[in-house]
Amino acid sequence: MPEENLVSAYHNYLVEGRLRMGLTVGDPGGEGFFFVAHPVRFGEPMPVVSARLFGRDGGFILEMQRNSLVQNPDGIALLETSGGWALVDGLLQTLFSVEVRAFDNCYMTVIRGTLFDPSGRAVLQGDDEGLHILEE
Amino acid sequence: MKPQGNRGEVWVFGDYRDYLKNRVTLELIAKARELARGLRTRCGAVVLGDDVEPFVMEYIAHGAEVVYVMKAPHLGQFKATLYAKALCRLVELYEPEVLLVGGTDFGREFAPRVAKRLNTGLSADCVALEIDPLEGILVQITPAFDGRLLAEVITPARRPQMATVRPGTFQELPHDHGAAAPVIYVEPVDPDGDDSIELLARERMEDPGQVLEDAAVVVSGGQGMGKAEAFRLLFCLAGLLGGEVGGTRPAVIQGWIPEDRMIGQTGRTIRPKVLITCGTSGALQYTAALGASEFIVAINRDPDAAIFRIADLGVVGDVNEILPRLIRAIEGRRESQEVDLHA
Repeated sequence: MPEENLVSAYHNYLVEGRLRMGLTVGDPGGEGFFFVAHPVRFGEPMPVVSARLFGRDGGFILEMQRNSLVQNPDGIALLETSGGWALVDGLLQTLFSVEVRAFDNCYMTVIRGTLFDPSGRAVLQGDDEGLHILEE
Repeated sequence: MKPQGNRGEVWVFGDYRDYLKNRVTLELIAKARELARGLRTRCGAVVLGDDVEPFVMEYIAHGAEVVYVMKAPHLGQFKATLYAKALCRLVELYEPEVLLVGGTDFGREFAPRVAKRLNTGLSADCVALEIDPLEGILVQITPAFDGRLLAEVITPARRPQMATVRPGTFQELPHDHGAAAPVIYVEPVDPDGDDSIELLARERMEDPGQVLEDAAVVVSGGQGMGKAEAFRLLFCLAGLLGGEVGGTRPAVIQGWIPEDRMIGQTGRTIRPKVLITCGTSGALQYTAALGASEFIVAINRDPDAAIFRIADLGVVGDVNEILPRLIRAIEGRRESQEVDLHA
């Protein structure tokens, strides 16, 4: 049966080529991987992301809460880009990026990059069709 | 398997071509919400296409309570045959009670194909839609007999009850940034392999009548203008007021104004802030297309003319005497304002 998602008139994320107000993968209260794309209300800055990220080798990289880096042992930088922002390491490689597409009256965020869990498995992968959930 | 729980809704087909100028879908969503309340159900919008995300959000902002999306690259171009197949698939799955389509060039080609496939009725160019409170069915009010009367059409047995409505007939709801609604993505239909229509190219045609529908000020003339030269006064007045000129069917038949500027049930539906209607009797087929005009000034030498019944301000007199005086007065006021500005 077709899936039913709640969609905002103002801002949404593109997930599997579809609009979604927000997205939660993993346990935001736990010690493992999680990724939260928070719903954005009218007038709020966008997008808003919280995440606990790991490398391909399973090593902890960072934790961010509502766009602020709260644990960042590797010195990952959050750089503003023309359409959003990106998390970049010391070798200028992008962990993931967010791009906000502005339409006449509304906005859509596209997230790109590959995100791994503590066992080194790719959990989320983002491209022009938005985020793809590989493992939950 | 058919999904449960969504049946009986009031649907609007999303015609988002020429967006933001084309507002007919937003106007129909506003009406569909009203009809849905009468049927105790939801108002839904249907969006077919490829890069459709901004339109989905826009329809939610304008009142859609659920949106059905069929998204695929081969649906990226509006194509009546393929879109009819896609919409019918959605109708078969979700069984809406009512299906409204904008009476655009595409809607006029597309809606009959959908109705034929679904074996249901279709009322074209409706000027009003109501729910019969006793029967709970859609009353489709549409011009009949060359616009000489308004017919109330019902579709008692077949579903969905279908109607097309021309742009400008209803008023859209304000944009609500805070709105949210469920969106249902449905597996797209396959492209038609044996489709007899192949889209080779797209070319935009100018539509002179569109400016009439969008104009804040409209000056309109009818049979009472008396001669083609008198229409120059209308163009002059409209020019001074930053408006557009339209005419009634008799004026079009006389060749005083082009057909694409005809106002009426079989022409354009207008909704200006100010309408100055000159030498028009107020026949039903004309006044039915003026319903959303905010302030109507009527000039006619017949004090019993029906046009005065809907006018906010009536002037009894000969348009060929009144209009030149009105034009001179406006020009005079402009000149004095220009002097003031330079002072």
